[in-house]
Amino acid sequence: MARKTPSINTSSSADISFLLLTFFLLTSNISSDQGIMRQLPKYAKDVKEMDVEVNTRNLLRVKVTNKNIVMVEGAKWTGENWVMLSDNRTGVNASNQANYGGDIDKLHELAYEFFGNPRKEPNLPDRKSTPIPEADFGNFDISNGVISLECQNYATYETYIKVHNELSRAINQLRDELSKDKYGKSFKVLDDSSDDTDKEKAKAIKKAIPMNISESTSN
Amino acid sequence: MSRFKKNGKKEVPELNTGSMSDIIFMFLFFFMVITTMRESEAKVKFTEPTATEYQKLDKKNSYTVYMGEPTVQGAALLDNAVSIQFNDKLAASTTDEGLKTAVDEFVQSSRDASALKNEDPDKITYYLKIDNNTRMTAVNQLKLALRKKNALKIQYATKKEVKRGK
Repeated sequence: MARKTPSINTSSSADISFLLLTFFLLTSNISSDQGIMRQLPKYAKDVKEMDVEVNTRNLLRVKVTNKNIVMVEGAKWTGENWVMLSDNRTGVNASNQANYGGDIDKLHELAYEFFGNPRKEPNLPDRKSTPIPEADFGNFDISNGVISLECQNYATYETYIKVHNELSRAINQLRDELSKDKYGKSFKVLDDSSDDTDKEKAKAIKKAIPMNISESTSN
Repeated sequence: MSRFKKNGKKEVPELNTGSMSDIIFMFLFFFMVITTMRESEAKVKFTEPTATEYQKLDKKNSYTVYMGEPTVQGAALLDNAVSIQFNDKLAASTTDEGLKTAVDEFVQSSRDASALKNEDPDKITYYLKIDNNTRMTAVNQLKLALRKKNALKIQYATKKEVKRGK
């Protein structure tokens, strides 16, 4: 005699899956990790700090002081030795300084002008024609400019990152312009692309406009 | 008028909840697919600085260093009362020598783990999650130790900047 199977009560399975859902919601994070990429220089054992002779026109000195004031070598533009850029967002105010230059946002404009040197000024970096093998790019006049970033010991990390962000902004702007000029696409599109030829193009542009930042510390 | 008379025997029909679990399971799978598990728990407090020029981190081949005020007792402190945490472990010592061994160990284990996952150990990104108020001495100490170990590709963790008015 066939016995009737009792039906299983499934009302609790919803509760169980709810529990699982909340568990996964709590243990996972959706926010994607992001940040500013940098390549550190190789550590040289014997040479204390690499002393490379750089022509003054090719060097722009940026300094972050212990009091988190960002200073840019102003001689190239105004004749003042140092132009101070305050950071209004962190409440550091340098407006009482004699040669107050403006907001930290100005740094990317200065760096942009420095690396780009659109008017070919004699006190801004010169360029050297170099062949770029990637993506049949051909020859490009690569800027010889180097930014020397000096960070005093008691500067905070926040200001340091802000300076790096501004410098990246200038470089990205230049790369973007070149990329649009040459390939008709923005640099970000090329760099994020999964296509191999696009990646090669992004590589060529990175080579054409290098991120030349040399860092040092002081007391 | 009997047309409008209510039939007292009528009951509210029962809701069929059988498909509810399916719907919730679908939710569950959705969340499982779009999220990642937290690999290490931060034992230090940190607020990341904001930036606009960030790039996405390549999660497959990256290892994290945290730096900030420790949340646990008895952590070894660097200058300005910050501690360093490598992946899961707080650095035990913050002398130059102690930091060097900790970084050596961290870089070595990262390279081993990366090789196991069939990634290129030379292309590891070291993801630095550092607190806003950390002094540059501490940051430079860490960077120098990484450089000595030839771990050169780094990424500073930043948050998206909230747009502010001009």
